[in-house]
Parts: sequence; C-alpha cells; structure tokens
Amino acid sequence: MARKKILLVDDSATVLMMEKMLLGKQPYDLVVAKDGSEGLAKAQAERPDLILLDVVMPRMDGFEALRRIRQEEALRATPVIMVTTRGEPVNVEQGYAAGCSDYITKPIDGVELLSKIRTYLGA
Amino acid sequence: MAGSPTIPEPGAEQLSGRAASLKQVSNRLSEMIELLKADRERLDAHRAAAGLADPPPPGEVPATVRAELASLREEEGRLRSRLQEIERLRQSASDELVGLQEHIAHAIGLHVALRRLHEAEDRAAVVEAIQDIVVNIVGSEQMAVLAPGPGGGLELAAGMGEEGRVGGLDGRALAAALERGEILAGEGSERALPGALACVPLRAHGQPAGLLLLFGLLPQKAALGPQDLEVLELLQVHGALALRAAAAEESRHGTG
Repeated sequence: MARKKILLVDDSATVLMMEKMLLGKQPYDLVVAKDGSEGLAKAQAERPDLILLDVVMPRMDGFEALRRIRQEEALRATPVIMVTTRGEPVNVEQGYAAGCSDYITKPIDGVELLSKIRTYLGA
Repeated sequence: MAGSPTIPEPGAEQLSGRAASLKQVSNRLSEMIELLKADRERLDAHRAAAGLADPPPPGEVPATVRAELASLREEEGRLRSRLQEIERLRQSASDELVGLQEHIAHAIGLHVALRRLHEAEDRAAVVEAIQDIVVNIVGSEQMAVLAPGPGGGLELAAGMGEEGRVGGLDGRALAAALERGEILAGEGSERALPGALACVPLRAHGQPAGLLLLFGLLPQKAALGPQDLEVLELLQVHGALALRAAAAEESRHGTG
C-alpha cells in the first residue's frame, strides 16, 4: 500500500517536533511548513493526503491558508484538521466555515491525533 | 291404485355386472396393498441396514433429533460464554493499548520539552522554548517567566500580557518560593501562591535561575493534571539548567 503524505503546518517548534515524533513511526511521509504561507505553497507542491493546520501563525493564519487551499481544485477534497489553542465554539465554527474537515485542540492529545488521522487516511 | 312412484328392481343381469365391477376394484386394491407391504418391508430393511431407529409416530420429534438439539443448544451456550469472554479480553486489551498510547504520547511530550530547552542557543531562546512548551504541552497561554535582573532581583523576562498580574503578586512570597524551590500549584489550595495557578521555581543544583508563573489554562483545559505537573517538574530543573548553560555560553562569548 502506498504511504500517505501528511503536511504539518505550525509555527511552534514544539508542536512540529511532537507531531513528527508521534507520526514518525506510522506509515506516513511527513512534510513540514512553519506558517500559513509556506503551508499553502507546500500543499500546492506536495499534494498531501492530509493537512494538520495550526490557526494562529505569522504571515498567514490558518483560516486564510485553508480558504486558499480550498480554492485549489486539486486540494478541495483533501482532509484538513485544524490544530488550535482556541477551542471555543465560535472559533471551531470559523474553522468549519473556512472548510476544515475536523479540528483538535491544544495541548495535543497524541491518542486523539492518531485516531483522527487514521479515520481520514484509513491507515 | 295411484300412489308414490316405484323404483324398478334391478334385473339379474345388472346385478351380475355390478358384482363383476366391484370384484375388479377389490382385486386392484388387494394388489396395491401387497405392493405397499412390499415397499414397507424394503424400507424397514434399509433402515435396519443403516442402523436407524423405528420412525416415530406422526407429529412426534425423534429422540435422536431431540438429543442433537439439546447438544447443539449446550454448545451454543458454551460459544456465547466464550464470545463474552473474548469480548471482555478485547476490551481490556483495547483499554491497555489506549493507556500505553497515552503513556507514549506523554513520554514524547517530555522528550520534546527536553530537546527544546537544551537545543536553545541563548537565554531568550530558552525563555521562548519554556513559553512554547507551556502553551503546547501544558496548555496555558496566561503565563510569565521571571529571571534575576542585573540587581539580583526577579524581573519579567517574558510574559504573554500578564505583566499586571505579576505586579499584583507578593514579591516576598515569590522570593521565598524561589528560595525553597518547591512547585506551588492548584488554585485555591494551601500549596498555591495567592494570585497564581502555579508557581514553578526554575532551580538546579541549589541555584535559582528564574520563576515560571501560570495564571490560567486554555478554555478547553479544566485543570492541571499529574502529567502536567511532571512537565512543570521537568521545566523546573531543565529550564534552570538550560538558562544557566545559555548564560555561561553568552558570558564565554561576551554576548551576555
């Protein structure tokens, strides 16, 4: 079975390191971006199978990056899981309005993260 | 005399014809009875050869079928019981797996915190790493890091809009907490520092290096748990070591 590719977008070195360690032993190839703008560029270039997207980031925040990702025909159906410190309903609704598939809140729960990724990638 | 109509008596010829017809039917029935008897004898012979019991009266379940049914029901009961046991084991294994995954995830969090602290190249990077760890592993954005200033007193090294709350704390209580080197956590508890959710003296080898203060948690996080306290304990020692190592490095390069 072909390995799935996941794009990790976060400006926090701590989060990126955690996600890489949590997912590193799984059958996934990981691509990393450190802000929304780089995340959009990597999404266009790499065509990932799933994107983990932080919300609060410099240059371009997660909501804007997601809106632009959804404008790309090839990325319209790509699952995007928002990873956010803002767990209030209004922020979650904003995420869904921008086109996210799911969300998890920080601090990251490793078991929940793996479970959601497996739900979308089936592996 | 006129009266009821009379039925004519059959003649001798007619009677003789009917008798002959009945005789034929009777002979035919006798032949069929003999054929059926022969079939029955053959069936009995086959049944005996196959070791089968006599057929039960019509409407009655044969004893062998009843016994087989009872045996099957018993087997079904055993299988159901085994299935329940397997389901219980599966659930237990699943719970254990989730527990292990949580343990691994926590260990990864501690490992990442250590790496972030010790990979930081200067004091500003160490303080930034401490903040990043507190936001993303502990789950608090309301915090401040205090460090000894040039005059020796504690000064705000980094805060996320919490300067006012730091100013409202009892300075002597802060100094005492730093001196004792004991984590004070649990808002409202006897061990808490008034005005702060948690007070973490950054201290290693008996030397104070700073103080981390938490004033609140992210909205989706209800309280600090045992695993959070382990992260704070790690920060207490390794945050101090990283700050001291960075200060020594800056001093060596004359950049401090």
